[in-house]
Amino acid sequence: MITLEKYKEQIDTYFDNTPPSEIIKRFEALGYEFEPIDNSVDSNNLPIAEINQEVICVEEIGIFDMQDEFSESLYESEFPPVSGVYFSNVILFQKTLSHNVLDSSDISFEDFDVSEEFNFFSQKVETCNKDYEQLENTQRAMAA
Amino acid sequence: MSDTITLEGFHGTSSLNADAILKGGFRSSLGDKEWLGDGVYFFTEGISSPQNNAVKWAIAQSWDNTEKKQTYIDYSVIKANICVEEDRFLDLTSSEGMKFFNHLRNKYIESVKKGKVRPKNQDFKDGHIINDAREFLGIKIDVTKGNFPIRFETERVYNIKFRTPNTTILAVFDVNTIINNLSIIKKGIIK
Repeated sequence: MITLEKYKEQIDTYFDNTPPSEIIKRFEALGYEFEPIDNSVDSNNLPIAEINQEVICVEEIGIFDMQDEFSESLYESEFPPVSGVYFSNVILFQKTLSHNVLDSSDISFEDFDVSEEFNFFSQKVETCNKDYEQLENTQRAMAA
Repeated sequence: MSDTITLEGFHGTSSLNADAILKGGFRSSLGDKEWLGDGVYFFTEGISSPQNNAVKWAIAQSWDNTEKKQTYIDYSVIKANICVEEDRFLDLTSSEGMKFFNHLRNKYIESVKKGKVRPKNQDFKDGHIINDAREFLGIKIDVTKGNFPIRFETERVYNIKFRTPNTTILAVFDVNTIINNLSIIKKGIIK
């Protein structure tokens, strides 16, 4: 079977030696259109407080795991969606709940991609104070 | 040369198409909408009955949503044996296969990030990445297996969408050398 162990070196070597523009060009040929991104915000320069706050959000909300019985029962419940928290595992949580509660069912498979984080860091950084308040409410509801 | 794996695949289509396939063989699906890259698609043993899925697929596909009409009423299910060398088989239903794909996917994302651009009109599609890796990275992927959520007739009529997979599918790239023993195992009429 094709495994990462067998191909990691080959993959890494290829990408180390291929200019991104070449890869982007290939996808353009498939019909993709690309736009420049605003790099004025660098995730490495985020204030520590903001980063910590995001981490707290992630830690407290946890990961929505459909293989977990609790999460499955939550999925079935009438539980309000959480908005505005940007880490991918929380987005997974958020969007799955939104999908259930709001019937916003036009969510594509790609929504779970790590590009969510990429988009977040490359666009606009916002603190999640407001969202944290929602998370606290969410947690209270979960505890109840 | 590695060991060979044989998988059973089930393909539901119109009876007219099925007869043409039995006479002339499969034609590979090309294009960006295919989930696992270019190839012929089959249902296979996994998380639900591949035979039933092939029937449901043939029924669902008979409806042309653009023209708002049924395009065929006679359907058939073709069974095929798919033989693939083990080291050319990408199994995305296994953790090992997914680790491979995720590493590959992250490399494409990194390239886009380094290029300081982002897709404007669409997200990256898994099938495109598999095709690109096959063509430009020289990774020989003959058959890819994956679990997918597929909307059949009921889900389409009642507009039910879900993301937890309900089927296991195979995309067979090299149709000429690795699909054999074709036979029609079921025929039916769509009422």
